[in-house]
Amino acid sequence: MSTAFEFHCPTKIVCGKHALEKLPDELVMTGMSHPLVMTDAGLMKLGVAAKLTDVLDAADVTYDLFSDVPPDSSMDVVNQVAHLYVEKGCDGFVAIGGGSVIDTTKGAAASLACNGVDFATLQGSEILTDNLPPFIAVPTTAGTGSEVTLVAVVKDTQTHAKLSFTSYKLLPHVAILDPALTASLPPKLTSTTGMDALTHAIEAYTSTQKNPVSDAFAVKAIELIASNLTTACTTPDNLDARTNLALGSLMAGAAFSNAMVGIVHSLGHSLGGLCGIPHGQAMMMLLPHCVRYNLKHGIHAGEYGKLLPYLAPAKAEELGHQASKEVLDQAVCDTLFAMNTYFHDNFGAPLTLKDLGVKHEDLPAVAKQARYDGSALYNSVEVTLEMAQEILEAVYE
Amino acid sequence: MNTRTQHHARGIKALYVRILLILLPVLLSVFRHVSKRIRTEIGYFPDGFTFMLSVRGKDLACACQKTASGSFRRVKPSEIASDVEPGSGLASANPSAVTIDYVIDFRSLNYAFDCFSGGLTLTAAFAQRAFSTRGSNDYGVALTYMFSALLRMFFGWRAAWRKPAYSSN
Repeated sequence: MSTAFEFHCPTKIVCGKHALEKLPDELVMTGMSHPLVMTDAGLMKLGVAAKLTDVLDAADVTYDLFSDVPPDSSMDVVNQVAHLYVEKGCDGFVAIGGGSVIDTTKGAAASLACNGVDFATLQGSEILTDNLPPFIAVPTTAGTGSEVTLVAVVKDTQTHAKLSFTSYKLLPHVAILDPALTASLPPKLTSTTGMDALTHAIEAYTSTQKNPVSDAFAVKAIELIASNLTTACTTPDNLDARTNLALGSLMAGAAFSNAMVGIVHSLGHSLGGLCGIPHGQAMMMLLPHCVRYNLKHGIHAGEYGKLLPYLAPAKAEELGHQASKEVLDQAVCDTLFAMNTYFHDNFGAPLTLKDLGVKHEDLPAVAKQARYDGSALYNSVEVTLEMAQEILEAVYE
Repeated sequence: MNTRTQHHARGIKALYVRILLILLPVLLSVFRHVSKRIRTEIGYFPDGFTFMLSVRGKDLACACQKTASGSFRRVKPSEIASDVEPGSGLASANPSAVTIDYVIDFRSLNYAFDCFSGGLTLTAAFAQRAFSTRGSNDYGVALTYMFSALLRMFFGWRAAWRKPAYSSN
């Protein structure tokens, strides 16, 4: 592990039951009087967005609403939002939703910070020098961690590629985690988004940019996610489990925001861009297979096993202190496969690419795009076409 | 180390980096014939693809353009479009000007020197955020693979490149 690193997480975290009721205070603290509220049609229909707008209405806050963020947002939507913001005279953003809503808001806010330039021209790292407009993120899934990350992932509809933007300036100023907002999330979606968060933590722990601070966040995130994900799926209205899961997702986000990710995300971004596979489902399917591939090739040997006490404490205790590194590594891999099987059997989470309608002949193109995905640079070995293809074949059926 | 010696060392590092930047298009053009890996990554870039390496706060920069034959040529500063930002992907109003597709901007001379002298792999430099980038991510990845292959040929014997973590095999 390198001792030369940077770690940045300035987002104010407002967490717990009734946290959303603090929103009017946070608007004042961040200097917003006329926010643009960002959300999607699904959250409008389910009445989740209304939980936030009701708070704004009760506090007599003037706001405008953009509720058309698609599940797989694009540059066009980002630029559309930036125009709307200017047209309506807004002075900040409140984003309520999953990763797509929050990342779209990041894009629009970044574009506005650069005098309305096309967000597509800002690809790369550390390009933004100006601060974003005030920005409060209210996640409704416990998965992406986007409320505390310096990354925005947006689809380029022309190239069918998921484009990553990274900048310390992209972090929201405030993140509000209220379990009431995730309580209505169905078990299947809870499981796939939860496994997305777990992937963030595990990949952050094994990336080339890992550091002692990101490791601390990653390990705690794994513990919170592993000990609360099943409970949140089986008893959706268990608000303690929901809060812990949201916090685990946030901490995993802070970990990977600073340590970055690896091959699971390279493949997942490529599957999302080329085949339209939802990010959480891709992460869930790929994670155990990537761990198995890595162990088979001696990659991160002895590292995965260190996570067992946090991922599966009972199993770690059963194996005891005398267990070899190989046994511990394998136990982590087996636990991840077992989690997927459980979520598949109980909540219908898909396990194979074939189940999701991916065509076998698309795999070489997915492998090539994965090799050149930005996440590949943080994998501890070079992502080759052969490696990507082998993993995709394993996940296929 | 006293101030005069430090100044002298900085001067030598700057000279070394300047020479490397001047030689870069020649090195890539020559070593593509030697290394299949370099040739493969060069093949990822479209003809006319142009990248720039620079060192923040120093008069050290080099822009290289891929030719139709797969070699690289040095782009003179006077040829570079001045109406669009390098790496933005925007087209210049001047059709004869060269636009930069990807920029790697080292945050200090020491980081650039460490990378160009084999003391730091590009991946380790990424992890330390030793440079900022601008342009399409896939180009950044391909450039990293290409430079890693080139640097390994020269500095594979150095400790940073002998570490098992991240190798270009």
